[in-house]
Amino acid sequence: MLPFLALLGLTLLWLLLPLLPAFRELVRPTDVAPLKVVDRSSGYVAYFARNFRQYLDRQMAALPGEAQVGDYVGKLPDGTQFIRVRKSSQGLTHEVEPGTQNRLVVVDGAMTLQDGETFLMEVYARAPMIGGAGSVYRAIYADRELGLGERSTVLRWAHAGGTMGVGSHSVLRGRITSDQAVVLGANVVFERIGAPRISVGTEHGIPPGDGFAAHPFALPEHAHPIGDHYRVEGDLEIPAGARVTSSLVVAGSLTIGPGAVVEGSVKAHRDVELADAARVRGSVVARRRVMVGDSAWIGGPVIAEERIRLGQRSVVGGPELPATVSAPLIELAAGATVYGQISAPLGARTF
Amino acid sequence: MRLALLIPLYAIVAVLIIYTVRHYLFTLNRLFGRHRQPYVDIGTAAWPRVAVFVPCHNEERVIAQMLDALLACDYPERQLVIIPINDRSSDGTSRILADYAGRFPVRVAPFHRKGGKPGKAAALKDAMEASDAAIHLVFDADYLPGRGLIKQLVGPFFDPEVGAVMGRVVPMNVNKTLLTRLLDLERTGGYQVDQQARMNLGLIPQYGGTVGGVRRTALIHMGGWRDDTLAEDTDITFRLILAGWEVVYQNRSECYEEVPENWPSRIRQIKRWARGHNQALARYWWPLLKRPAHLRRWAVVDGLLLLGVFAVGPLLLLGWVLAVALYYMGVQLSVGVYVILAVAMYSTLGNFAAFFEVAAGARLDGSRGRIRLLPFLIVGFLVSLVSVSWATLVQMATFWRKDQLWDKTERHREAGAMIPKETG
Repeated sequence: MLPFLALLGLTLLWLLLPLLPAFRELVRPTDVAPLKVVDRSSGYVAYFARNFRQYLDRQMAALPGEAQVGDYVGKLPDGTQFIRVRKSSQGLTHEVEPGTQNRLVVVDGAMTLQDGETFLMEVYARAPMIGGAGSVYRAIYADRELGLGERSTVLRWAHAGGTMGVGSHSVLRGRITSDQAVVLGANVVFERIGAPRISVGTEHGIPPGDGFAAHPFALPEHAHPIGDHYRVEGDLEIPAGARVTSSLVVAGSLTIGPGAVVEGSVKAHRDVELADAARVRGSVVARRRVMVGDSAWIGGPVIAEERIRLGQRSVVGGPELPATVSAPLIELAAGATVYGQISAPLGARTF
Repeated sequence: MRLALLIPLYAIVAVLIIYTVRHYLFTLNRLFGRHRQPYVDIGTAAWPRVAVFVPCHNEERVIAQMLDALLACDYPERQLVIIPINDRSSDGTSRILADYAGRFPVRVAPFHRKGGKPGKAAALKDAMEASDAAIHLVFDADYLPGRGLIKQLVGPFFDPEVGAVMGRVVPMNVNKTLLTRLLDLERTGGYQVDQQARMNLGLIPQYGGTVGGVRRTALIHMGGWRDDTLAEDTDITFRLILAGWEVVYQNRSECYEEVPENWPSRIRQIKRWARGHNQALARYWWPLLKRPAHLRRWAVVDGLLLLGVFAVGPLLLLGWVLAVALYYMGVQLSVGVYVILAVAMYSTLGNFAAFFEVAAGARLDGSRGRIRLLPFLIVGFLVSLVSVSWATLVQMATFWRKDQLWDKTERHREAGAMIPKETG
């Protein structure tokens, strides 16, 4: 009997052996917190900038009185080294090696920084600041206007309370925001920008639409209504100067001719192409690409699953009509303007 | 006689193989495929008017926290109205709603329901008329939406083809019991893998009735919510799909929920789901099979499999009964049949989340420790198998009855319970 019981016990142990991690996790839990996946702020483009500003306000308020004004080199209450300059960037002494600033920098007066500086920690500008050419920033928070010189690099985020100008050939990683406007130079690469107005070079405003689109466009016979939109199987081409008064879903590609107007939103299961001066009052969605011609206007968000190209002087949204342009890859020609947000996880580029 | 048993057995095995392959495809897609979430970055827009409906039947334990969370959302205040549907509550729910309506007279507009059919579907149907907002979102009373969730759920509606949007449900009372931990794993597989894979592959993600919403014009186009169903979410999903609308799943739009903490509550919940889902199966399998011109062939196949997902349990049980009967009748089935039945049991019992889907989901979520509980899922899945099969049998035996028994899910939250903190 004993050998049998021993064998039974050993067999049971052998069977339970693979379950030991499970029993251990059950008895002594190591991973029972709710999944920290509920990101309540992922949609807020200035999230990191706002958090930094709050952090810095707390730290600065806790500094002794003599450290509150003038040029100063010291530590924040949490031990972070910082340097504050008030009159000239010459005050930005280098602790480790020339051209590399390893302290948190506070710029207290309007100034232009030297070329080729590398800032390993955040820069906080309380007055208008212009960065030098070829500089590298971890992150920048500017209360007022901010200018980034040519070939600048921002590694994490940048925010300006005033207008932010970005020099040509700059690379902007992470989230770039302004409370007023971001003006991009040529050949700027970025991922995510949010501002009431984002333009490549000079802003041109919403292109005038008067004088176009005089004649209504009759949808093909096979187009059928689904709720508040019409669905068209296959491709659809809206001729130049035509006007469509409803929203459209096209199972193929959609081409909107020069000067044509769509009063609603449009979606294509393949590509959407807006010719020069075409207008869509609502949103534009494509499962592949959205190509927007020169001086075209889109009133709502522009979404594509592959690529978006905005032509010269084309506009998305308006001063009272914020909108998002989102696709893995985005290209913006000179004069293109977006009122709101641009998001391109694989990269956006001006040209 | 033997042939009469063999034919259905092989048919069942074929069905189970199809479901198993489907689960593997979804898992591989999530591990190696392109993650499709085209609308998640819409952060700035001229936001449309939104009504958030919160059906409440005796929800005094949870409703205040839910309303607080909604009021804290970053959606433009003038564009958002919260409509708690007080569905014949007999506890303190009415008093709490009156308090919020008094303090936020523009933003909170309770809809009081004194009679009519019981159940969430009927409540939504009645309350739908209370708002002409362009988007109707629906949350259960125990949910805790994050600050940016409303915008995330509304974003996809800028696509004119989108009729409904579904976000991800994340349990928050994970640490309570073994059941809550198992349900946490099941949700991980079901949403992170199953739903997102269907989104990635252009198939049919399911609107789940909460953490989501419907475009009002689509709802009107459909004739509104049906009040003769126990699963208004599955019902509206298939009505929308058949009519040419698109249903979108957005994995990044997460919301905390309270999952059942005891087995009786869980059993009642899953039996209700099974009955509702089977109703939808009976109603929509034929219209779907006829394949409307706008639907791709693979979407139809996926839709049929989705409709039949609660029928898999009873089928599996039937398969085992047939196999055992044939064995005692002296029929030598090939080993392969038994293997398939065993593998299928392992991979389809979870109805929405097979074991490997759960494992893949946990890996994608970056959670390490909880994955060790995987072997215990067999317990939860066996309970589900028996519950779903019993519910299905009862439903088939009483198919002529029109009245629907609505089992409300029990709430467990205590006053002052800890709420998961904001992350990100």
